[in-house]
Amino acid sequence: MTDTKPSITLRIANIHRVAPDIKAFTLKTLDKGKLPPHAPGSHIKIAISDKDTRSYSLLPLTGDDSAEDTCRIAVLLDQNSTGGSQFMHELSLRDNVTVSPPKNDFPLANTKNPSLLFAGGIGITPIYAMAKQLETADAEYTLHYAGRREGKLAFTDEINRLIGDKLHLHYDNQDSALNISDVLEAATKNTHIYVCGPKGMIVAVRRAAESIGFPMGQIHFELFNTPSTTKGDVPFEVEIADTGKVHTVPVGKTILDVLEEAGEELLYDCKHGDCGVCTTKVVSGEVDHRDVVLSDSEKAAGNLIQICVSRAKSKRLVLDLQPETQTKKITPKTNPKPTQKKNENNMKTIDLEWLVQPGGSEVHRDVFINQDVFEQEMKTVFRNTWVYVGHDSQAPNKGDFTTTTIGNQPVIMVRHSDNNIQVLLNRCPHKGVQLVNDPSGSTGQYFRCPYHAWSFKTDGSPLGIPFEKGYEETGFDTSCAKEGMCKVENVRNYRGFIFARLSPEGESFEDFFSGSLSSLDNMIDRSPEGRLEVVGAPLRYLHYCNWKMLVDNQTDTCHPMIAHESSAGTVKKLWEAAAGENTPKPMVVEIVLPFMSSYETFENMGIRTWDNGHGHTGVSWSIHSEYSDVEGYFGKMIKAYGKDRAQEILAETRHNTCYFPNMMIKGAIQTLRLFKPVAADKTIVESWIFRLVGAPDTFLERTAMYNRIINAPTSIVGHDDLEMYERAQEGLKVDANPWVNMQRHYHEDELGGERVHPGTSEVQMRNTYVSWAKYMGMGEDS
Amino acid sequence: MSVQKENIIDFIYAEAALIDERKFSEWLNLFAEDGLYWMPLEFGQQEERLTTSLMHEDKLMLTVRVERLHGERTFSQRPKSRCHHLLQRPEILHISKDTIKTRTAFHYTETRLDEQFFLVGWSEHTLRPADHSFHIVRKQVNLINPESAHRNIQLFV
Ligand code: FES
Ligand SMILES: [Fe+2]
Repeated sequence: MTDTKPSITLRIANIHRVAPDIKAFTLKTLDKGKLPPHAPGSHIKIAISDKDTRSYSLLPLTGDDSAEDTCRIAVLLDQNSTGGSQFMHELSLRDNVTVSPPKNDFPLANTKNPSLLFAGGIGITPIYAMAKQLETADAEYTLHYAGRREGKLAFTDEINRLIGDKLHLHYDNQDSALNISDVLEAATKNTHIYVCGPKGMIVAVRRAAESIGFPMGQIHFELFNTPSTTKGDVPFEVEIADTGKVHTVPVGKTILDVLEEAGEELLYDCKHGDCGVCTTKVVSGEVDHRDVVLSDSEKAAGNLIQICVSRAKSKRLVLDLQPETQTKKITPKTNPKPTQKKNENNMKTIDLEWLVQPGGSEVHRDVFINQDVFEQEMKTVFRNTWVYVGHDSQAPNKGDFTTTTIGNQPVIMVRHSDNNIQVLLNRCPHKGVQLVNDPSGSTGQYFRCPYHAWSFKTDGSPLGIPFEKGYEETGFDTSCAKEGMCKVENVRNYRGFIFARLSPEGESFEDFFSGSLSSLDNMIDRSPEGRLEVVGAPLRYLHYCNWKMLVDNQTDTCHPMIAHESSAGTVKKLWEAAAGENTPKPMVVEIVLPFMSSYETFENMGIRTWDNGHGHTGVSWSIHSEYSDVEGYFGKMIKAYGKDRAQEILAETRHNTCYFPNMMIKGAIQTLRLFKPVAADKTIVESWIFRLVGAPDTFLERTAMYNRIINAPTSIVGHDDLEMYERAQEGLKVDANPWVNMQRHYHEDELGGERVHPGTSEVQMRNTYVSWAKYMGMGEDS
Repeated sequence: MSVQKENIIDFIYAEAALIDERKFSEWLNLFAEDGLYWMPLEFGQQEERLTTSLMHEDKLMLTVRVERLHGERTFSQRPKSRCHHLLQRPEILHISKDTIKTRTAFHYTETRLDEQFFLVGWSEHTLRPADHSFHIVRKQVNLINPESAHRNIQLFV
């Protein structure tokens, strides 16, 4: 998520003790200045020193206070904290604090579906604000508020007055203790779930909700990153097993900090408990796990610790810093049969069941590096699927054409005299010469071959052959040449997007795409006129890697923060250093910063899959969700669609939608990328942009900028990715392990129809390969 | 300072040399705070804002690029790219007290590992005199093949 700097001065107008160790603060602007608007779930950051800030969610206001100039927060005093809560609790009336503009990372999805709110302890603050909004909207909801024991929870009376029996209080030490599963079981499947509280509670709610089958996109949570200290932290000792040295880890420092200062050589990377590099063996002592790396069973076993975040429950931990490197003995899958075998006709055939392991969980390298496999893809996958050819705005007038390829087949997309778009194979039936080869142009009323002037109508039918009588009684009448140009029969113009299926027989357009068309619809609906137009030439970018590596990358949500650290991370760093008070965020910063979102953000976004290899990232949120509004646009949308529908269209901010086999669109920023296969190890990527007809130019400016910054051969983000693909293409030459792993979040029966999955799942990659195997298995002329 | 043609031409050569010598931070300093580096995507392209370009970088983006080239985790620069500019003598198109425009034909070569590619075209500089030297207000790089399927272009033409 992006960072906003403290820039607003607020004065403390009221302080209330609302629980034994919780104070509520009412903050007001100076001289009745205006606060930016803030919806429930918003938080502000308060500067507690020159460098440090703390985030606090905004509470509903009381009395006559107006949200225009007032906000309210609550702060739990953490006895061991030296930082934020101490600072806050020492403030007095009329002190000034500097805060950031409110920002909402935890918004209510809607008030139409039922909502289930969970709050643990001080996590009540955003949830209380949500409850108030739901109550005002007369929505269907319940609030479960849990704490250790009675008397410790803040605002119970206030909330009770507001929402009555929709509030359920739970105390751990009483019969009322919260049973998350029971509550979730009783909820309908369209319920949106919101949780804010300690990490354990969030994990428990998410896990229970997922196992009951709530779509990931309906589970919303907010985790406060209290940087180094958590309530109740105490100092403890760490003993190094082989030297016997003992160090004390004080509150506010990690084991890693302390051992590093003591000169121990340690392996680590992320320092957030994310990456798994600093895993260390525990000889004795009880660990207080705070990472997201170790599995539940590993945590329970207690033999391992992530020393960058986790602490101790016991007085002392004994750690083994020099575990003998145990290379686990794994027996890799060995090929029972050669990848390619000969069939009865002594022809080589490809063993698809071997190449794509069950569910697509592992994929053989031949899928990426074997040229025979590539040739078969061209004859099967690219013949039997509906492949994107172009957009009808590229051929606005009769006779206008563009040239492209479907797999390795050169085609012409042309507007015929009946105004329909035709797709013709680009060869003269005479000697094979390509009839046109400009990327785009106009051919007038017919094509005329530049070699011997045979001519054809714009639907491919023959028009004339100079000096034709030379063919009399030659059998020419029954030749292929006589038929004219070869034409693709199955062409579909879907709201301007032209798709073609080379094979005469096969799945219908609707069966092939099913629900996935909703992504195209959303991109098109963002135009108040429901129409898009291609703008300019595409970026063309040559990659020496297999085309499917790019397809996989589109839904690879575990790479941005790593592979793009050099580009997006640098933008983030420079921006944070340069941005002064009230500096408006330049468009480019707005575009690039979300690439540095955390694993949890991506996990939370969700992934949706459909049959036949289509799927998208960004179900509930995406890196495109927080672009600033463009003046005048929403009004036009309301006029065109009505308020509810306009809101619905704009609330859908899907990230990347992959259309099998080789296209990706970003509806929220109107770009389309085609991964055009050239050879097993050669791909040309084309990146196109669209104008939202009838929308302000700012959208086109942002789209053009996005394309340039992210997709160009001159793009630093592109450089990051290309390097990975090409290293993979080389790395896959290693014979010792021929498998590409796709198992993240894998489980059997995860595919079929429309499904939503956790956002860091590699499920859409698996979906691709399961479908790939299906189409690869189809005959060349089915 | 009265603007000498000689100085302008030297400046253009020196600018390219800084890139070739990988003195990117010094190169960046040549740009005015409102400076712009533009490489259109289409031959003869006039529109800057409402269509795709290969590069259209203000000083913030140029700074990001330079920082990135120096970064520890910039994997596409392991190993690093090298480049070379072969320039024709810059032609001075316009000269006045506060604005200078030049046109310089180039052959640009970039290389990394076993790969080497060439870009050919001309750059148009708009300069502003600034104490004893110049600031680049605008550098427009016109390739003769901007629409081609390019490989990574990682340094600065
Ligand atoms: S960590 Fe993913 S390819 Fe190596
Ligand atoms: Fe990427």
